[in-house]
Amino acid sequence: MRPYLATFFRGKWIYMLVLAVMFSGTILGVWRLAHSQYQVTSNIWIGNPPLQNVLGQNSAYQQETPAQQEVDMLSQLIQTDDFMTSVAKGTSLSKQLTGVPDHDRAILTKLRQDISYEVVGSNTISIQFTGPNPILCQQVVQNTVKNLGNWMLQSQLQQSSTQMQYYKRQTTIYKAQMDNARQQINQFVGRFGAPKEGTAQYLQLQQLWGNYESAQGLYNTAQGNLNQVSIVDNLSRHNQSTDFRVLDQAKVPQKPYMSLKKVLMYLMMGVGASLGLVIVVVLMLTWMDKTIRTVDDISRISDVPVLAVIPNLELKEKGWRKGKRKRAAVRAVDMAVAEYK
Amino acid sequence: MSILLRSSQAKRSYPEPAILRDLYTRVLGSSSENDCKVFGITSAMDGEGKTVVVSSLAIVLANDKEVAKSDEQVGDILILDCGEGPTSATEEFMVETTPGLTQYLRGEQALEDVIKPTFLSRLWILPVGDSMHKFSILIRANALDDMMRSLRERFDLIIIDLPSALTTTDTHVLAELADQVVVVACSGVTNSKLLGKALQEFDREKLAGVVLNDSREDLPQWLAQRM
Repeated sequence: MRPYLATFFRGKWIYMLVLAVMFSGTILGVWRLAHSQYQVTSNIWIGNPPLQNVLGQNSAYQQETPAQQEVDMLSQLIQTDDFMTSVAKGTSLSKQLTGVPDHDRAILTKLRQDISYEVVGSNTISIQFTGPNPILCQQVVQNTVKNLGNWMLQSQLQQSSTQMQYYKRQTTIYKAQMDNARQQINQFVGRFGAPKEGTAQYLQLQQLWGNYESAQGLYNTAQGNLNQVSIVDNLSRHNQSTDFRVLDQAKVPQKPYMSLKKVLMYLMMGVGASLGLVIVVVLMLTWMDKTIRTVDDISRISDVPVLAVIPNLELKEKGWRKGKRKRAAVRAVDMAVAEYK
Repeated sequence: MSILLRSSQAKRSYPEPAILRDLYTRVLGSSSENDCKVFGITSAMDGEGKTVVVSSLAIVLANDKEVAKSDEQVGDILILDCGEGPTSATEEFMVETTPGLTQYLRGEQALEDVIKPTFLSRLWILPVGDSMHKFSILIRANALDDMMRSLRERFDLIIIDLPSALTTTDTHVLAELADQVVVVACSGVTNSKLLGKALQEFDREKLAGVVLNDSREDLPQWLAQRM
């Protein structure tokens, strides 16, 4: 440890200067960055998906909140170039897109990196975009929200049609069961008439009625689900999504913004980089230093004794210390000559 | 004071006399011989401060009454300048470099003519001479041994400012003239491998030790105390 500290203190003013310059550069850079970045945020409310309402509360679909599901979906959508192209549509970036995939990919990748999203609550997500152009930031967030909403609407439409088909089939099946049960009752009554209570025919007739009522219950439930899905389907077809609401519209920011967390993070990175550089330089200089500096260094290479250690008496010609050092250094010679005189 | 310092070295500083006295005592103590009169001071490479150590040691000892023999004539000290570095002991004392050792070994000058006085009465200097031409051949001649015999009789202490150990083989030859050899290492300048190689150049018995020059404590005092 001592050699490294000695290396540091030998050049301490240079290292301090480097640290000061780098830290000043960091502060300047962070200041400029903080004044050149704009951030736009939009919050969206996500309702429970219709399929969940149909399948019930205990289904596997229930394990994630609607917001988490939406964020998962959004993260996958953002990875697709088609989605990002639609987000860039109508913005200043669209002029740069040529339609050539290799060329557009770089632009879309940069756009993708600057979009961030997070779950704010169980039904709320937040979409953010940070960049130097406030208008572009607002347009990107607005387009992202719009395209996400459209995609959800399309998904909902497909889902509701699938559900409608499912429930229609169910109602058909249960209707057939109901009709079959009713027919069996009619046939039984037609053959045996109204049996007296307690007889075997009476019990059989009661069982047939039970079958009929059971089929009727299932039919009614399936019919209710079908009605519910039909309402959602109608609303979706009329462009009114019940599961997607924009809580905060994306607006053009008037002032630049950088969160305190980011500022501190950049400052810490700058400080860390400065210290790291100084440490690396000190380590390298110490490892590369093969010169003799202390008595221990001599002892390491030979068992020859060290007879004397003559300290450094170099005069420093700087300012007010000049007179002091000169007197101190010359005193040694004066002592040698004074007795002679 | 002005004699001691050259104008271009007006800012040179010298070690504390106590450190140099201690060095002298330790060198004497490391010698197995009772009569240790000739010290050789060298370094691994040039520019590590051996000439400053030679000059400082000589000045302190020449001025030190403890070294002087109490009941006999005051002991004389000689600096034998064999250095090839950027500065030489001869220049330190502002003494003419010629005639010197090379002239004597060529037979052009007598020994008495090449030994020069300095500003201290007990301190003398024998410069290297006018040229290093054929120096390697000259120092391998018998004349050098004869010269050392004469110098040992006359001086109580001879300090040889040797060339760097790794820049020339002359150092090894000249070190044979010394009773003890001291290697100077400069903190932050001398490479550890080169110092190791330089130490291996000399017999372990003749090698008195190492002087660490220009040592500095890089850590602040409050931190050094804790480590």
